[in-house]
Amino acid sequence: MSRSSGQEGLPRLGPVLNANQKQTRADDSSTISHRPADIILLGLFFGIAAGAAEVAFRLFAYSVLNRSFLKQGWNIVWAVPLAHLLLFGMLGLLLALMWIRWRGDRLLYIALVGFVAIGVFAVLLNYQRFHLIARALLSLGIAIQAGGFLARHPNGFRRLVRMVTLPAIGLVVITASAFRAKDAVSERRANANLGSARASAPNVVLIVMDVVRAADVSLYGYERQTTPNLERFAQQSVVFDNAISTSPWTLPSHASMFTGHYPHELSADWNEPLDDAFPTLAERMRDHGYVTGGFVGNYFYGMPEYGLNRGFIHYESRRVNLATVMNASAFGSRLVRVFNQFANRYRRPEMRRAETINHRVLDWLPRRSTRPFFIFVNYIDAHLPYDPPPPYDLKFTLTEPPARGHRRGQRATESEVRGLRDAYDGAIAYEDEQLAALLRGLKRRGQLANTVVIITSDHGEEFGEHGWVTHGNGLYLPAVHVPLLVSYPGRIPGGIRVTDRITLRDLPATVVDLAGLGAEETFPGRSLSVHWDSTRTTAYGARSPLLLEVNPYQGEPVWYAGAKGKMHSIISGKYHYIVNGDEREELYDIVSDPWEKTDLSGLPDNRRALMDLRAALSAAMNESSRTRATSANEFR
Amino acid sequence: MYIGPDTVVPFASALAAIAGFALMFWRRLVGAVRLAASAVKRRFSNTDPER
Repeated sequence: MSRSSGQEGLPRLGPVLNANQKQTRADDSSTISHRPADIILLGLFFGIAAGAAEVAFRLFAYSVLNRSFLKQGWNIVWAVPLAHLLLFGMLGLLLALMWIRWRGDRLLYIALVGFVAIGVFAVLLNYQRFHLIARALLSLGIAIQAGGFLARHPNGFRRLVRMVTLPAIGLVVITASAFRAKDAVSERRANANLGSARASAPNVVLIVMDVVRAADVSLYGYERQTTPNLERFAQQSVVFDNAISTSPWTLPSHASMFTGHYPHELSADWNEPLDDAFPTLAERMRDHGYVTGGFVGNYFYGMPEYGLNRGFIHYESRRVNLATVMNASAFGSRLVRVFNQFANRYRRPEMRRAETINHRVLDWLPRRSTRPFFIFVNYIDAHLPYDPPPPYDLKFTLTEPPARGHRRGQRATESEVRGLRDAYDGAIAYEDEQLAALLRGLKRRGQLANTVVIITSDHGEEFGEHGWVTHGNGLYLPAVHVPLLVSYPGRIPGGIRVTDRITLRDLPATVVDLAGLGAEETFPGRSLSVHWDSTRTTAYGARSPLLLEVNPYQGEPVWYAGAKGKMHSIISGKYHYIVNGDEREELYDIVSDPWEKTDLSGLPDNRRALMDLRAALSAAMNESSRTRATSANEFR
Repeated sequence: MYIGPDTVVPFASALAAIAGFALMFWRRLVGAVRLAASAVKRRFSNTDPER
C-alpha cells in the first residue's frame, strides 16, 4: 500500500468534505506533521472530553431530570473520566502504531470521526429513551459533522489538545487521590470522635451469607454436607430452625435487619436507596462507642449509595481494579461485559470472594483496642452466577465445566436446574469454610471470647420449585426461609434449637439487647433472647408478625409471581397466606407442604382460616405503617 | 390517549435516527434540497406568462 502524501486531501472517506473544505485545509498547515505521540495525546484528549461529557450528563440527570440517584456516588467525577482515559488512550496507542505505517489525512480523519463517535455514543448510552441503533446513528452523524469541522481546523485544534489534555489528566489524578484521602480522613475523624463505650460491652459480628436458603444447609437436614462448620458452630449457639426474612432480595431484607422495620415502611426498593428516616443498628452501635466496620461482598445493593453503609465508620463494598474503573462508565461496563462473555468469565470484576473479605476484616480490625467493635460481613459467593473456587466448584457435581450462569427471566430445564443447584451448594460449602476461617482468625487474636456472633442470610433462592431460578420475584419459602444462629460464649447456652418461626426484623432489637445498650435504645420488634431465656418473655412484649413483601422489578417476565404487582404475605401458625399483585390469594400449609406446592385457598374448609389471615395481614400492615409515621417524625 | 415513556421511545428513537442520517449525509441532503428548490424555481419562472 502506498503511503499517503498528505496532499491528496480528505474527501476519499466520503462526501462530507468538499472542495471548499480541501481549500481551507490546504491553507492551514498540514496535519501530516503529527507525531505518533500527538495521536496518543489526541486519544487522551477525547477521553477527557467524553469523560467530562458523561459526568455532566449524569449529574444533569441526577439533579435536574431527577431520574435516579447517583449509583456510584460522587466518585463518578474521577472514575468516569479515568475509564474514558484508559479506553481512548488504548485506541490512541493503536492509532499511533497505525500512524507509523499509514500516516495521512485519511487516517487522521478516521481517528477524529471514530473518537467523536465513540465519545458521543458513550454519553448517549446513559440515555435509555432512544433505541440503541438510534443512539449509534445519531453518534455517527454528530461525529461526521464534528470530525469534518475539526479536520478543517487542524492547527487550532492541535493547540487546544496540547493545552487542555495534560492539565486535565492531572486534575483527574488529583481528584481521585483527594477522594481516597477524604475517606481516610473522615474515618480517622469518626474514630477520634467516638464516645466512651460501656465497660465489658461485647463485640458484635453479624455475618450475612447472601442468598443462602435454609433448605440447602446441612445444619437443617439437607442431605449434602454443605455446612459442616456451621454444624460445629451450632453446638455453641442457639439455632433458629424457622427464621424468615422480610423480603426475598437483598436491599429491603438488609434494611429490615438494620432498622427493625418492614420493607413497606422503608424507602429501600429496586431503584431507591434506604433513606435516613429511621436510625440503623450501626449508627446506634457507633453512638455507644463501638468501632463499626462493614465488609460487603454484594457489590451492587451493598454499595454505599444504597444506604446500607449508614453508621459504619469503615465500609467496603467493591474491589477497585482496572475492570471496576472501566465499569464506572456506561461504555466501559459494556466492554467489560462483552470481554467477560468472550473469556467465559462469570464473576463480576467488582466481586470479592469471602476469602478476600476475611482478609480485609482481619487487616482492618485493631489487634489491641479498648473499644468494642461491631462488624457486618456479607458474603456474595452463593449469588448467581455461582462460581465457587476449586475444589468447591466440583464438590457436588461431576459435570465439567460446572453450570454457573443463568439469565434472569430465562426458563431452565430440569437438568440445568440440577447443575445450577450443584454449583450453588458448592458455593455454600465454600462460604461455610470461609466463615470458619474468619471465626478462627478472630479466635486466634482473642477477639471471640466476649463476642456476639450472628450468622444468617438475607434471603434464599428458588430452584424451579415454582417455575423459576433466582429470587426477588415471589414470596415462597425457598426464597425467604434462611439460617440463623446466635452465639455469645458464656451468656447464651449452646446447642439450643428454636422451632418457633421468627422474623429477621427482630435482629437489631436482639443486638442492642445482647450488647446491653439500655432499654431506650431499642428497635422495633422483639429481642430473640426470649427464645432462650423464658424469664424475658413478658418483658419483651408481643412477637413480631411474620410479614413478607416484594415489589415488582421493572421488566420481569409475566410468568414470575412478582411481576403482577406488589406482593404481601403473612405466616401464622401452620399457614402461609400470600396476596399477589393482581389480588389473587394463595394459602399453603407449610408444615405438611413446606415447598408450597398445593394451594389451599380454594377449598371451602379453609374459608375461616383465610378470613383470619386476611385480617392478620391487614392489621400487621396497618400497625407497622403507624409505627413509621411516629418514628419517622421522631427522628427527623 | 396514553402517552408514557414506553410509547415515546419508538417515536423518539425514530427522530434520533432520522437526525443521525441527516447529519451523516448533510451535504448531499443540502445539495438535493438546493437542486430541488432551483428546479421548482425554474419551473415556476418558465410557466409564468407575464415574464
